[in-house]
Amino acid sequence: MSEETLIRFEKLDDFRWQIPKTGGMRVPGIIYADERMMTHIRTDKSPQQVANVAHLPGIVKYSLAMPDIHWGYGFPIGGVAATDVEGGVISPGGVGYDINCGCRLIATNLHLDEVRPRIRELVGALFRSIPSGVGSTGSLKLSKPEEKKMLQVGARWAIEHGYGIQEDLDSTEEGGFMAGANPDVVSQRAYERGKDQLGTLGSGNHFLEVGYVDEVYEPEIAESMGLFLNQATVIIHSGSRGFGYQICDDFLAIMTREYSKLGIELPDKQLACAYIDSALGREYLSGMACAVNYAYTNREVLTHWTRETFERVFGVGPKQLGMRLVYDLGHNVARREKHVVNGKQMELCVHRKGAARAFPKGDERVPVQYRNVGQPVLIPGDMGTHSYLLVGTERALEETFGSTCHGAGRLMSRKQAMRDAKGRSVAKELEDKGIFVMSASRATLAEEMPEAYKDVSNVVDVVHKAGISRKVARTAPIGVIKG
Amino acid sequence: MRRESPKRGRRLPLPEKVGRPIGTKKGERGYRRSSPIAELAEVLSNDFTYVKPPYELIDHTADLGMRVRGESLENLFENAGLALFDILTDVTLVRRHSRSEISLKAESVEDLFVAWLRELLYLFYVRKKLFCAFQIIKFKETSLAAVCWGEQYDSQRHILLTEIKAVTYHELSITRTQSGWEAQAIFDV
Repeated sequence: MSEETLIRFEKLDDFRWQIPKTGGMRVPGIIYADERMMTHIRTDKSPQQVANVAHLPGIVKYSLAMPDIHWGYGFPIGGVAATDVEGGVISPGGVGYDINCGCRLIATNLHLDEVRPRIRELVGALFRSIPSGVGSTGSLKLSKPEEKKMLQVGARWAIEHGYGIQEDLDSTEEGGFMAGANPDVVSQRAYERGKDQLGTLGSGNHFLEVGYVDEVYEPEIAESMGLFLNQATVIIHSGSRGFGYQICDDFLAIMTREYSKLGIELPDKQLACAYIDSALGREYLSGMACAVNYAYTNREVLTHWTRETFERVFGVGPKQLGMRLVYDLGHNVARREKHVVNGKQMELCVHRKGAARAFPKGDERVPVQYRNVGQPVLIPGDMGTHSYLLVGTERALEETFGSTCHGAGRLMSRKQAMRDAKGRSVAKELEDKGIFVMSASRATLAEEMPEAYKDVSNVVDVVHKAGISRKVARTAPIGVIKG
Repeated sequence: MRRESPKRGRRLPLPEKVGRPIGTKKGERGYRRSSPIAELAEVLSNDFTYVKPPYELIDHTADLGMRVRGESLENLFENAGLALFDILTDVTLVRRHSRSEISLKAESVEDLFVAWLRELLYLFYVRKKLFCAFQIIKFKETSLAAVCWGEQYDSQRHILLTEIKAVTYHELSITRTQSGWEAQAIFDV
């Protein structure tokens, strides 16, 4: 949309722009961006969405947006909002349809020189063993009691059934499991939609990427994470598939009917919410936790098949391959977390819609092995460019409830991308850059072409310079599977 | 969606003049009379052929929207169903082999619109149905009954174009225009 929004901005410093509290806003908004990004953001509807989120009952401090902010529905993508557990609300739109969509970085013992010559074979094999594409279905069929168990224990279910190793859980956010999941609040439709999708990548922006560490910014931290230059890596980006979409959809349908009866006034129906301390609020949170656990399990199963494929292609055992999960984190989640607000410890519900958690070193919520460096944060770029590994900082905890950006953020609409890609072969262009891509759909490749996204390095530079996370290393892709 | 079993003694042979869904053969599923709604629809469906519905995509940075038009509210809903499947698949490849019935209730016409599209998405993702024709049989602002024709998704013959995760309430609108009705909806894709 091209018209200038009526939102007023106050520049706080080079990377922070405040939207003053007006009308029904309960708190001001803050967007993390540089001057150049702001010229684009100003013309977008996303600042209005930052202001809309500030209307949520119980929101504390600020309605925040990360530099990868773009127009979403209800919440902007890149939005962060924390509500007081006492008297505040939970908004399913602040989590999104793809609940616990996230990504993970896997390190290997392989060197770029060993992988590059076999990338076609490797990507082809991965493409065959990892179901992807619109409505893709997998080979895992769980009985209902088995599925319920998986929803309650998360990624541990995968480990117990031979799809992964125990160490993976130590490197997955919250141990690959969100507490409080209650499978009984999940609708029949969500079960039906998620039934045959466990262990599938999906479509759209989901991907599996083979790459290598091409730059190290913090050698000591990188080394402590077992990362070295030219080391082959894998990134997996997927979520809770149809199961999560349906849970969000089900609760939104109820909440859009109910919220106005509770006396809550919202500028956008898609922000529909329920009090956290209400039956409906609690039900959503326990349903959401099921989807969170589904997504952790999904990425764990995908990792297992990735490992198997590497073993087959390179003809070596798991020990030699050393495929080790560096970290797995979600970027579409709401979590109950303790934070200090105005010198007071509070229990908050932190909504991160297209935003990642970024806790600092020393924080007890960071896995032990990373507690002296900070929580790893993986920021994937578009399929033609770099991805970044960062760590969380103290400043993030102070300013953004321990949150940072989650990706590059779209620049072009899908329609515009399709138009721009007409008559071109995105796959061929990427191949010329040394990136071999396989996709279930040409349309997806066009929609997801590199130019459709903001430059991830600019996005990462902003969070780095603003001090809400710190660059550790960068990877570059050589092979990609798109849905 | 519930297919009622035909009542005993009411299973009359269909006279030839009452059209059956185009592309179906005598005796095929979808031909059988199953409920009063479907009977009415069969009579009405004589001159039914697929034409691309009047709609356009809305440019939305992250997602996808549609703006669709119709002469009446009923027609608007029918066109919205067609537009949805036009985004999901190549509708010209979908044959009219079977029939599904949908009855819905909602609190407002906007809610009904979302509920309608949600229902169609559900039938697509879970029942693996692709539709190429719709007929709204009964319509009030807060309820509808419809018959949808199409067939089971077959990966060998059909093309899936875009995955629509859900229909959102964001910037949802249904408005009266000079020539009829217009609705817009944003999808999460």
